[in-house]
Amino acid sequence: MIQPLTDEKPYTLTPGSDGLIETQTLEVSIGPQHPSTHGVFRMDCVLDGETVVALKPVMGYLHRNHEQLAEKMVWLGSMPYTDRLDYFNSMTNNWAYALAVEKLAGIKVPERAEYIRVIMSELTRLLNHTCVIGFMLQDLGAWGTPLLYAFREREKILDLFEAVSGSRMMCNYMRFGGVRVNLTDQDLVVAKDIVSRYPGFLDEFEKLLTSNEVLLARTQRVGILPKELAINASISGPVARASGVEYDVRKVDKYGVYGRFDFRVPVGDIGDVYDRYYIRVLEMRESLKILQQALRDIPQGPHIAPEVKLRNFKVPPGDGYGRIEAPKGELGFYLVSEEGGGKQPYRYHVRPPSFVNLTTLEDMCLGHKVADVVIVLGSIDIVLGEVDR
Amino acid sequence: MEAIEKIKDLAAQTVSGAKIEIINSTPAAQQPALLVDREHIYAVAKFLKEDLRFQMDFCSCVTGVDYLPKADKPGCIEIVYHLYSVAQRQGPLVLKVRAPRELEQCHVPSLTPLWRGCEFQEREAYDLYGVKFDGHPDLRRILMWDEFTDYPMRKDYVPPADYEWEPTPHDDTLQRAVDEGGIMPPTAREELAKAKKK
Amino acid sequence: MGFIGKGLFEGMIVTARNFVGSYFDKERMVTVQYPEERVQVPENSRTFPFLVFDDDKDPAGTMRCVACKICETDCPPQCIYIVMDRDEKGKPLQRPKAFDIDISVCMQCQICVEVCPFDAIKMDNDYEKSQYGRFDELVEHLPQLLKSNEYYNRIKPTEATGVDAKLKADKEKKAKKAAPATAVKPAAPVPKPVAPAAPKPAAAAVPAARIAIPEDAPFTPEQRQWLSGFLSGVGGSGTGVAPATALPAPTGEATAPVAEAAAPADAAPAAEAPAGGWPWHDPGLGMQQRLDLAKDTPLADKLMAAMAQTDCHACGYDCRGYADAIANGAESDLSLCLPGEAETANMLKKLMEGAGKT
Repeated sequence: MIQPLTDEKPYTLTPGSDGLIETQTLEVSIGPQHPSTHGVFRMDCVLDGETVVALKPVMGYLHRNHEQLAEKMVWLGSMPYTDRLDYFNSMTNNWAYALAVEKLAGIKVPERAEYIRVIMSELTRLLNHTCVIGFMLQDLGAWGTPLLYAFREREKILDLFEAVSGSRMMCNYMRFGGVRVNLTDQDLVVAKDIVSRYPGFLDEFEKLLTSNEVLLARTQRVGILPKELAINASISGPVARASGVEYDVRKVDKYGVYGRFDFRVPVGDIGDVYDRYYIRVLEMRESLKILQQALRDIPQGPHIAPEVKLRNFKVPPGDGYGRIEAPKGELGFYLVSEEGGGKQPYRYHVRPPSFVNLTTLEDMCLGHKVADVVIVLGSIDIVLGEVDR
Repeated sequence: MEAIEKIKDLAAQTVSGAKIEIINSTPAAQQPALLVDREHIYAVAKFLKEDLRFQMDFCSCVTGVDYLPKADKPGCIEIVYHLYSVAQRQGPLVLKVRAPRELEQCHVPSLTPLWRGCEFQEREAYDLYGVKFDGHPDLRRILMWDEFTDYPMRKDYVPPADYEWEPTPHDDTLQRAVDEGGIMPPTAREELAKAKKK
Repeated sequence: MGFIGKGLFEGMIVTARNFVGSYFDKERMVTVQYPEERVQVPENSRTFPFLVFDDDKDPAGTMRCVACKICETDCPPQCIYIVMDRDEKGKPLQRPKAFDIDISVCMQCQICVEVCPFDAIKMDNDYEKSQYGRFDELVEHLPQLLKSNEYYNRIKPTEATGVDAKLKADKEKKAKKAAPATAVKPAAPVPKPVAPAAPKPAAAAVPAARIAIPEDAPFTPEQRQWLSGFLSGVGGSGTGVAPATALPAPTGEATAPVAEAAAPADAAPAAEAPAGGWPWHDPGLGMQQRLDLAKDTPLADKLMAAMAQTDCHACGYDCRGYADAIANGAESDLSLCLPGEAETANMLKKLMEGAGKT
């Protein structure tokens, strides 16, 4: 690691001590309009010079009242709105909602539909992780180069989503009991092509970044999250795994057909920003493994359970919580269906990973410089659509 | 994970005086819940977290649900906690606690001292339902703006007729300008002139 | 062996390779100079809805939309506004007088397309919709929305071919049904106007798929069941969902001899009409005319006459099925007939009160 060139005495915090300059803390609001806060997000920082002394996240600028809208619409009507929660990864949001309703209503999904869901979800994980790395490097000051390389790969996957579901980002593809339309053979050929080229892209991407000295100097030992705090603060996803928590909802719950695939879960040891970056690279490689297996083994068959009605769909009364491993963490839906089985949910709650992962933002940033706050935020990987709903 | 009845018995034995009930969900979902009274929810949650048979160290989701009063049941606001165990790969275990809907009595103990992950989600339940969490380190509004009154997710919330209007810091400046006859759209200025002439 | 700055140097090589390569390799230069060049959108791409008509010479007359308002009800952001066209006497004409879609509200979710039972509304892939105003200019009215079936075939050939084949099969089936007495299957029970008290067994009543699956076809039972449902949906009135188990035989309903044939909820083909047909089953008739034709019939028939006769499945059944379900108590919601609107709902209520069951 590069050593600093001089050994400076830091300023003391008590003003007026003899011989030293009287200082004051400065309260700065980073955001809500800011190019690096990943959306309309505000952090109230109290700074001593450039060191962060306190930090409070302020959110709610994108609150669109999704949960109350869902109470007024039928079960299917909220599906397009779930696309807009984590607007970067619409397929996984759709799957989480469909999974929660299927759990509550006891609908069994045909096998081909499960494989299609896994393929779409892992492709979403690929495009999310590349772009998160791209954005984090954008925040670090690499003006767009890694970001646009990442977006070049993302375009291929988005073109596949458009051919399959009709829309690049707001796919609205999953339905209760399966998926909306079946994958054609042409789509499978395109998917296989993407998966076969991706390792080459990843190798090039890593060559650009992983041993880059600027990246190492700025991200190692910055924003460390200890393991016990991660578990206690309900952190999930790559952020928790980088801190050493070996917990992946795909391996624990084995929802869908994830039990059939052979993949590993990468776990970090220190939990700094560099670990969170490198975990995402490793997870992309594991996703490619899952994709190769899924594309090889996908069976023929129906793409949706035939007994599920499109209109006048009723769910039996009760409540249930369904969760998946979204690219950002654990995305869960808590649904309550009222007595008599309703056509509309009585309560619809989203447990967003980005919202809960922001709990420890302050702990990770204390003692670091302001410039590091932006990098730590970038490594947590938040999307405001999810945080505020 | 153990059967829900066994968990209930163990919890009732350990925490004396706790009134625990089992609430069942749909048969397909298989997620029965433990409804605990307000006075003992903290002790029961602590037991579930620390006891080595459960080790529920991960609080995944905190939700508020508003049940309006009906003929046979008094209304309540229910807070639902979903607990998982990372150490033992178990879960979910659902805890429920109820508070009356009237604002002065609507408070429950906060579980944030046990699980830091409840911090933001309990703030959200306070913001949207009006449930106060006693013992929460920083209970203030999170999604709505700080000067907002009323609790939007309650079932009897009536949005104001001017819901399209949003307050801005310049509102009283603009109002003062209008009052002093300054900034005004042309039609409004004509109306004001007509009214003054009368 | 790593000199200081080795990582940076390797990174620079990658950047140089991408930069120089963008002059030679299509993979590396991904910019499309819009609007001189355009990206070819895939077939399934969707932007905003449009209404389909079949014959260029008479767009308004051959449009497929019957103003059943299912898309309006199911649209999540409620961006569709429909007014049914009525003649001077107030009789509904089964086509829209006004059909507005506010494209500044529309979220392109395609749910209106999925729920339309008549394949009348489809998704366009035209994304160049800028206007010079933000409000009224972004509301599309009926003339703008009507586009020909030829256009639909041009932008989405695979999908349009499938829809055309299905509509043709539907028309042929309807023509066969119109020829009386020959179309009646011996197994299907026939609802007679004079009442035999015994209800027919449900099992024989469920019409099998028009296209029979041969016994030695290599399908598992689940696949067979799904396939038969799919085929009866393709050959039937178009929801494409396999019939659920038929309604159980009603108990104790002495007043209404109900034919279970009609009513697996969401089932595909409509039940068989008796030899004389159901004379009121014509969407061109008015409410009073239909009720007069159903004057001396049992309650279920009178209930059916009160409905809009479009077999649109807005209520979840076809017209016969809904009437039977109300009559035997399986369905208690009387307001599900969307094209019938309040007129039908009120008449159903009156009929049920008159028969003594509110």
